[in-house]
Amino acid sequence: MSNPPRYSVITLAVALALSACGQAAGDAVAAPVKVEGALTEASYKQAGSQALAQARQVMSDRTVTEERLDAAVAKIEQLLPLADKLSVDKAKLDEAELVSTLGALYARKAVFYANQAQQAGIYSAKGFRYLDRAIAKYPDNLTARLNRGMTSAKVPEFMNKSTVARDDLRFVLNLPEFAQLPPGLKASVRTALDEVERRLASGDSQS
Amino acid sequence: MHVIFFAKLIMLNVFRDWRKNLIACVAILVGTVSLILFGGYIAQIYQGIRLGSIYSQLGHYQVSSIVQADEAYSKSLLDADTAGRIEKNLEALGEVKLVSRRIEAQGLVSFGSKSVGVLAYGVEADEDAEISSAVKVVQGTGLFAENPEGALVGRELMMELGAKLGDVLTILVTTSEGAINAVDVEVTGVMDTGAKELNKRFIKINLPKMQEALYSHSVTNLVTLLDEDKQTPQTDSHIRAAIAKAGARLQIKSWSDMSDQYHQIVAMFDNIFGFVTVLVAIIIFAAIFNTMTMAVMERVSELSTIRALGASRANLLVMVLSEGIVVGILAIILGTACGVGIAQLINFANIKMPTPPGSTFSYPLRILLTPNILLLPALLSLVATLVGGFFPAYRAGKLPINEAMQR
Repeated sequence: MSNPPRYSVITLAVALALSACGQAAGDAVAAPVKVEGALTEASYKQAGSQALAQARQVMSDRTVTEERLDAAVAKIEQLLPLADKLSVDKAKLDEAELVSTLGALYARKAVFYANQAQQAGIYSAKGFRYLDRAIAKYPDNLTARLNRGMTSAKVPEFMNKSTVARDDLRFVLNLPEFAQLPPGLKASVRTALDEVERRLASGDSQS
Repeated sequence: MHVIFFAKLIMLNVFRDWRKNLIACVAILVGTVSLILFGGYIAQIYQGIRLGSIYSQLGHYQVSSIVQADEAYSKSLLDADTAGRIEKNLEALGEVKLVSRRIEAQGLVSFGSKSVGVLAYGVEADEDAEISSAVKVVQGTGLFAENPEGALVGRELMMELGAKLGDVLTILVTTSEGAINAVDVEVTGVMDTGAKELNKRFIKINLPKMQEALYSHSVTNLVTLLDEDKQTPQTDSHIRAAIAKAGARLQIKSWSDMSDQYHQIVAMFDNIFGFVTVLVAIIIFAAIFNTMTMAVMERVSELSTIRALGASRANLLVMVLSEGIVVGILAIILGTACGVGIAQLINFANIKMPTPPGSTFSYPLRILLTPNILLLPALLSLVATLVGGFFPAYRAGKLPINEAMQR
């Protein structure tokens, strides 16, 4: 069971806190992610940080366009196969953060297809597959749990994700790293958990 | 000039009797909106059931071995070579998105002191996740090849066994040679297939684990998923030809062949929709008939005067009928626009529908809008308007000039 690197937790926390506060990220599209120079652990991690930063910027923007979302998805999808070329433990290459963020981005993409159930279902299933994959491999990773918990809490009730959201958010709440998160984000997690528990208790949810 | 004069006369008449025409217009409008909404709702149900069937576990096509009733279980398996050949042939087709190997077996699952009869699938995890994207993982995670011991268990089966995530279950199955074998699996996730009865008996494990249990590298079927955007009317024949080339004793079934429920529901809703359509057509017919008849009765002197001034019977028939058509077309355009608007509002309102009998999924109310769904009510309303307007118009043309002018 791996623990996430602390800087990842903090950068994620700041991004999600901004998101929770509803601060728009602006229209500027982040610079393309490149692995600078030779492919090494350091260059990969730097590129990974850029890809995650771009993804967070996109996720925190309530007026984000599908094109910008696709660009963020493409960055992570281009990056992930490169990790296979490095003989480094993928946990050190932020795999949990990258895969779960990719899942959250796909789940968000489904929102653009609210009127096309089939397409929305495909993107949402793909998103949850990535989120599940991150958690299956890194069950104790805060970022992966947070991404899946918050995504599951936000999807419509008919998707039956309330139990998953409750389990993940409770797990996040009980992790020691939770105390290091900014107050805004902690409040968002508690609010989401309260909402999900209320939903489950009222029996409205099918979960 | 003649045509312009008549057109002007028609428009003046329509707007002169605007109150009566408005009533007919509202009736047609409401009828058109009703047909669009109801047709769109039914189309959404059809699409939902079709996609639900395909993406629950059926896929678009399944290939398996032809087995006679008295043949041994081992005969029902596709050996690795045959499966490979089928895969190669299918994957060469542009419409095919993926082909996944699967073993479907019946067995027993034991946990603690409880044993339950189950339907166990051995699946290729990533491919099956796409084929089963409508199956919801409600606890834990889905199946992954990286965790070969993992198992995805039906929600009601989990409750019956009293197991929880991380518990180890023992699956007993009959091997390909007829012996009994058991393997241990770890519960990594809980699934909801949407059907309570299936949830009580359903378990999925990784294909290699199932093959280990069966002492065999064979599979029972190959599930094919198509790219929805690349399907053509020829796709079915392409698929069947590819299977025919792969060898004898192979059978192929489409999702439609395997989903009786879909055809039953379509037949039921087609009947209901037909009945409602007839009712709406009668309402539109009655509204136009009533309005036009009253218009003709009130304007006997006027219409006779027009006849006396030289207009033919046909001219009068066309004029009165055109008045009805103008009202009808206005109402149909407005009705279609209103129907689209209301459908969009409903789609974005995220209205939750009650869970259907036997299902565990609720679903949001959605109205599917396609050119056919918009055209059909418009055409039907237009035909009802034409028929409803024809008789009064015909009557206007038949008015005896002398008698009519004396009124």
